[in-house]
Amino acid sequence: MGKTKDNPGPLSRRPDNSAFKQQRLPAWSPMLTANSVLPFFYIMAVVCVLLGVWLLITVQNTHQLKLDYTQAGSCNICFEKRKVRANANQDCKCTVVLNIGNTFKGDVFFYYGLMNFHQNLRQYMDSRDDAQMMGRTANLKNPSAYCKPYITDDHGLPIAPCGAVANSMFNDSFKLTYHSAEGSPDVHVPLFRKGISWYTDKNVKFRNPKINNETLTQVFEGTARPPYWQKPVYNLDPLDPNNNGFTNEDLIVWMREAAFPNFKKLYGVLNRASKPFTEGLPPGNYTIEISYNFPVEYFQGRKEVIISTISWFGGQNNFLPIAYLVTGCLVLLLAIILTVFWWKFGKNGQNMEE
Amino acid sequence: QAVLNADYTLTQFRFLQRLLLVHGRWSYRRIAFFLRYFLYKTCSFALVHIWFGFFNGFSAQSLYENWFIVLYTVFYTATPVECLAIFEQDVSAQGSLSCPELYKVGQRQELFNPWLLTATLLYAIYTSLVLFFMPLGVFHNSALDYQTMAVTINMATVFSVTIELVLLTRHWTKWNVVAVCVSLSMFFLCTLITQSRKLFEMSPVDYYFPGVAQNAFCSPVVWLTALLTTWTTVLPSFTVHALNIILTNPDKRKVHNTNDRPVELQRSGFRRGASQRRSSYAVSQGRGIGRLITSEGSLRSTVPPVDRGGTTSDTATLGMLNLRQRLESDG
Repeated sequence: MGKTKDNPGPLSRRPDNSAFKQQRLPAWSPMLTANSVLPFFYIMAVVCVLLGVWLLITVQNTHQLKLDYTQAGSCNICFEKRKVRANANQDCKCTVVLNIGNTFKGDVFFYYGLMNFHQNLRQYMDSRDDAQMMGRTANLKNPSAYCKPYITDDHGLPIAPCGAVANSMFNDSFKLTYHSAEGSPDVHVPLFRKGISWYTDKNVKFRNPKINNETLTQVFEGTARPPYWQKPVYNLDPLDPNNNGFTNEDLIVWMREAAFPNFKKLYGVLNRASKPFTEGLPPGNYTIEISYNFPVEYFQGRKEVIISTISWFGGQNNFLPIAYLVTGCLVLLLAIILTVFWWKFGKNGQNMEE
Repeated sequence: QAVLNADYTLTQFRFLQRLLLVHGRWSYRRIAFFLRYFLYKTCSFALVHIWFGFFNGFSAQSLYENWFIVLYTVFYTATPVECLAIFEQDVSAQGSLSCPELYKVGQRQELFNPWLLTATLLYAIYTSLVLFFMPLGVFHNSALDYQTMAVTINMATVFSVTIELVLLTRHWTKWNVVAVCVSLSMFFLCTLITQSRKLFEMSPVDYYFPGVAQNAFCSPVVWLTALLTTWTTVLPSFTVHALNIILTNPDKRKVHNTNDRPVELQRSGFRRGASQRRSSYAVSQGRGIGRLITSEGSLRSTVPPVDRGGTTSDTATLGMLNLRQRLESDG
């Protein structure tokens, strides 16, 4: 900031006398006092507590039923069977029984849950090819190197979809049956198995390669299925031809990686079109017939089935409401301590002495 | 030749007064705040990866999209702190000149010393812990995915550091306000753009979070989590500021001879060492107004000053507090 004057001569090198350059910009300085600070803490405490209570009530109004079926009942046989890799081609079905006490009113969501499966491992998350899954024909037969070692199969054919994420797709399937109390026949519980993925995922991120009067099978000709899959990608859903290829909703849901090792993913939504499911899930006994394919023994994982109703806030997760309540109480405590400090020291304390 | 080699060149000795007392002092304050804030915001946003490592097998998986990491330092948090560094003033220019004791803050290293840096670092570690573990509680065992959690933590981080800056800034010019507003809106805008459909279709490798922002910014869970996380991270800072405000709250009563003091100070001018020897110069008799004013001003330290009790029991405190009011009302 050296101000030099030409001596004599005009003061040509002087900085401008503007407010900006002379640091005289109009400004506001907050003059905070205890009268503005203490009420702020009290207000924040009240807000947090109220939010916490409201969220807690919302969450408590949802119902959830979890069932760990890794080794439950007859699934133990399948569990032992899946320990041996050679049995991978053999089907194994098992049944588990569950009982619902109160009606699950409203929309009911079915999830499958995995424990101890690290979808958030870096090498795992990198091992995919979004360009291929987007439907780019150039990448269909030319998967990216990130998919190693799931780029080509033993015969040298490119794998579609490539990568470890797709390869490890969850392939258990569930069939829910309702046993009503009287001697009436068992009712199969209908589920919507579409509409379970994000709109952007289904329409932007995952597209099948362009079809010019070709069937999906022909489009995928020259590619191979991932090694752990039983069915090729163009035949994942034999019942619905639109749900095949890269836009298969189960595949999309699986490819959206979870953040932590314990997670759940949407499997289906209750179809409430017909009785007795118009109100939701009626109470009673249910059996789930599981096609047990996904081996979890290798990584000490567990599998579970979760049936839950949803509020605007999501399923049954008590953490956030309780966190709000705890924070609210903490802030209230702080506010009280600050008030005590103010009363003892700030208001009429030692700074009165002269 | 000396002029060409020197950092500062003065032609008259009287320029030294302004250079030192006004601009030197402001500069020390600004640089100290700037550096400590930079340490805080960078550490808090980076250290979450350490905690995430415990849950992803220490595989160094990033918790953020690459674009957030790039744009965080450039767009989302740079301009407000630059405005702080350019415009911040605790006392006006006239006040600085009339109260040369304030310069001792720099000489005593009160705003930038190893203890304060350690405190800032510890605060950044605490912030990163909250930034990670609160969303963990919400996203653990849930159907929500990794990318939504990334956006949640992004939001919480940007809100936290912006609020911390808002607490730090005492001198609000219009540029400060504009900078804060622009940075926040840049965050939302850039996140929506980098996670948009068009860019993903152009290059799926570079823009690998399509549709996440559109989904997350409409989700109440994401907002509630981000807001609670933000509030919890800034809570210690709020508490320390509040404590400082409460404990140094100026009394309404005025001291009878306050009117004389400004006149006396102006007459004394700036003489080396003279101010310390003046016995009738009431301001210098106590601990010194500098520590009091700057300790109210230096609310940035996250650890309450150690000798709180001593300061408030100073006999000349009351007069100094009134002097501070007068200085602030001047400028």
